[in-house]
Amino acid sequence: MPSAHLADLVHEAPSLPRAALRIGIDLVHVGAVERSLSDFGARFSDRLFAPGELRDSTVAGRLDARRLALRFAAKEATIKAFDLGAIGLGWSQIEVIADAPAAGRVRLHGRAAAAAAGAGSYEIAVSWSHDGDVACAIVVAVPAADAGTAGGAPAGASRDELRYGVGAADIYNEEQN
Amino acid sequence: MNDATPIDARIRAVLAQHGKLARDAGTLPESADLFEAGLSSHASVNLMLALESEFDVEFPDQMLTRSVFSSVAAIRGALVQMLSA
Repeated sequence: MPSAHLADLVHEAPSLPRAALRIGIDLVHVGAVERSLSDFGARFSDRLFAPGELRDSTVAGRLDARRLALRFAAKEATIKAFDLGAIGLGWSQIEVIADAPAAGRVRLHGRAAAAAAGAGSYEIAVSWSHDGDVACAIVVAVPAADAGTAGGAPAGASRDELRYGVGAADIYNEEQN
Repeated sequence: MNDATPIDARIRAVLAQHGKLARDAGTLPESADLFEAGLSSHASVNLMLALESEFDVEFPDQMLTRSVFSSVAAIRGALVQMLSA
């Protein structure tokens, strides 16, 4: 993302209060996601999920509703954690990346990233679970101890060092790459 | 608003089909909070997609806020804005 564009977004985004801890949780019914796929097809999947999320949610050549439900729950949990419901953003701006069967990280883009950057740098952990028809995700975000203020990731930081780093830290890396 | 009634009727029909509300979408006050009435985050996505089909519009990202889908009146306001653009 070009720096100038990000600067515009940061300027436009409503400021979020700094917080010592942010947490969000969401539940999604897998069957409801299956019905959405049936009712709306690609309009549903392409509108909500980034290409990588769709790739990670494809099993035997077709989209897996449970995997999509877990990722949608993680997106909504992130919206709650950062109070992004009033920002006005597409769900694909919150990208869920699975690092393990039950855990991952979130990468923010566009207005979501700008809003998070305004609140400072955070490290975010995502965990999810499912039981039968219910998919659940929880997001916990804490200020990055060594990332400084908004946009200030440590010098030389790599994506590997920011395994659970998102928000301003991830924005920093995107601007450098 | 003179055109509120026909638009409202179509909004309420979509709401009844996709909102999964605990209350009757047909009699819900236009300013009633839909999330309080049971609209979930996932149901709000279905509502958005169904409204786009019904009115042949596409909600821009800037309109994808909780407040736009918070009531029949708020949805009508957003639709009127898009339809008149």
